[in-house]
Amino acid sequence: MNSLTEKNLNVACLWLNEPGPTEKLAELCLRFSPQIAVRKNEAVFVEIGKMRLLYSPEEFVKIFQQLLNPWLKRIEVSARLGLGRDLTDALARARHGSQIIDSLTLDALYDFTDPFNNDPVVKPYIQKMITAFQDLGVHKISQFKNIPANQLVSRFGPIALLSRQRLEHSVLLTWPYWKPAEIIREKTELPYFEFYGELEPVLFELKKQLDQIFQRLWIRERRAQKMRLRIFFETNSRQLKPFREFQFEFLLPQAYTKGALAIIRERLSKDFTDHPVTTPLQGIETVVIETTPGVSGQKNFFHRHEEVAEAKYALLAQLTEIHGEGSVYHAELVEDHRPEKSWKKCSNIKNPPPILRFPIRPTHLFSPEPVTLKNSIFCYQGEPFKIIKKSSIERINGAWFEDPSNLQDSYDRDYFTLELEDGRTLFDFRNRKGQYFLQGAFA
Amino acid sequence: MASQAEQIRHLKLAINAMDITLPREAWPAPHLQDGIPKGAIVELQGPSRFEWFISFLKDNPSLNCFWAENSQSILPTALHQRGIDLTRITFAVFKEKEFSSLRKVIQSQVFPVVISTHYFNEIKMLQSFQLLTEKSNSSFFLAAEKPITQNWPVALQLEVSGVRDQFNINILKQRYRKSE
Repeated sequence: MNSLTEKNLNVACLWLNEPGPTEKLAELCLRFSPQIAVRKNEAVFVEIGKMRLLYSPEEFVKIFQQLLNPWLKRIEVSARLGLGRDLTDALARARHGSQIIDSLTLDALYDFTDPFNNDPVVKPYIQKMITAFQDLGVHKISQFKNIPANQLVSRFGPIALLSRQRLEHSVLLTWPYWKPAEIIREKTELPYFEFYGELEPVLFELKKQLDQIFQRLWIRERRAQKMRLRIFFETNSRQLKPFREFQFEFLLPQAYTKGALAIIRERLSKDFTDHPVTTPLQGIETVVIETTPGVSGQKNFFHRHEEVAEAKYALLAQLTEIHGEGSVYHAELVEDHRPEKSWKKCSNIKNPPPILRFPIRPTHLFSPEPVTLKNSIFCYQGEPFKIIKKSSIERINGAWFEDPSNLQDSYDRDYFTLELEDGRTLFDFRNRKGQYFLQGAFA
Repeated sequence: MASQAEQIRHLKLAINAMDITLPREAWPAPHLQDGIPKGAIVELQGPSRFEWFISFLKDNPSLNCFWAENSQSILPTALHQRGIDLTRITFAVFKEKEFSSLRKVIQSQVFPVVISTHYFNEIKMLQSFQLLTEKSNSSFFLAAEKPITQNWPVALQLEVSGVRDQFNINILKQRYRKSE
């Protein structure tokens, strides 16, 4: 903590020694001042100059510590408070834990030039400048201050001058606008004993809530990406937990009740079947946790692409709820000669397909099953089939880097197709040991 | 009552046996003059049924398809090699609740073509699919290993053999004609 008797202490900075929830912290600081700034996950700035009539700096520090220390202790984050003339001054004091700016090393220039750590252009310049000064024997801020300003500009350009001006408090820094994140929440309290364990009344109430939520999102040109639903119950000796919580992360951000409600219905009906509700329902709360940009304009008169896409993703999300993750998917091709590894599941195809440099593959692929092949007879599970035609061989091997210890069997195959007398065409391979396997079929 | 039910069953069988062909809109299909009817169930049989279905998708590049299986066996790479844009195809593996899930898919009207390798032989299920496909104007392909026996809701039944691009199609049943 710097000397509180100093004049012109206008800004307080709380520097977190480990990355922490600065947004929450900033919300807590709103009780001191509406002028707040946040350095993401690292620091929170509070304007304290205008509250002098209410609190002296000593009182502020006392109240601030009383308020925040228990909270910081709970989230296991240590922090340091610094008071300064302006934002950069407070940051340097809080971050480096020193009251005398002049005694700081040149690393403090980062704080003066880019206090919000959001300018990727500035960083390399400062790094270059610090290295050059260190080579010249300039290590401290006090030494940096002694260099004539005109030399700084000619040698290191405007960024060096800006650092200098910030150190001397001769330029004003505009505070970036910060406001607490908006929470879209709907809560309904249900009349006592009206609802027991049925799902339909819950969905009925939920629809009303979702209608409200999506209207609020629509006007803000947002869509719901993540939602949290809580259903509150009366507690008794069997129902100890007062609520059930459901988190929904939509495949495609939702803009309408219809799609979202269908997804929620699936999850709830499964939960209500697996864990029947035995006590009266007390309330339902829906909160939008994450949103993405959306469009609030009128519907497109010329096509329904957006609506169709939303209906599609709502359906896929619903099916995923029923059948589990990965049961509904798109397929993206991968450059690999092994048929089983030549594609992968994805929710949305992002990359163009690679150029495939191997012969045509069978329509169906199974996990390899051992078979025997003798003269023109193919034997599968003890049953013989006559071979009419055998194709030429496609030899593939490689991927030694995947599992060197298991290289021998894993990826050294001679693929060929067999046309059987009954009209079927099979896709087989022989491994290095001379064993034959059936892996696919042209159906 | 029993005799009445029996009578209805006989009537249904008689209707099934009659050569009634309803006019329907159809998608063009390889080696099939009348094409694939919209809003109807199509049953595929034979050793080359999937190869033929893939050529059907290739001939109709605007159609999005939902491909449902009971266990994952279709190879997407093969589809791409046969000229299908994989962004058009949504794959799914339904190990249970396949009836209700497929109903949802057809009902959504998102996919004009739905194919399933699940086996449905219960008349009520097929009837339900028939009504839904009719309503959504989509074509629902049933391509299970075994042929359906109680198949009166099926509008077209094909047996496909032969190799790629040289299919032999045997029309086992056709209850529609291409509308003018």
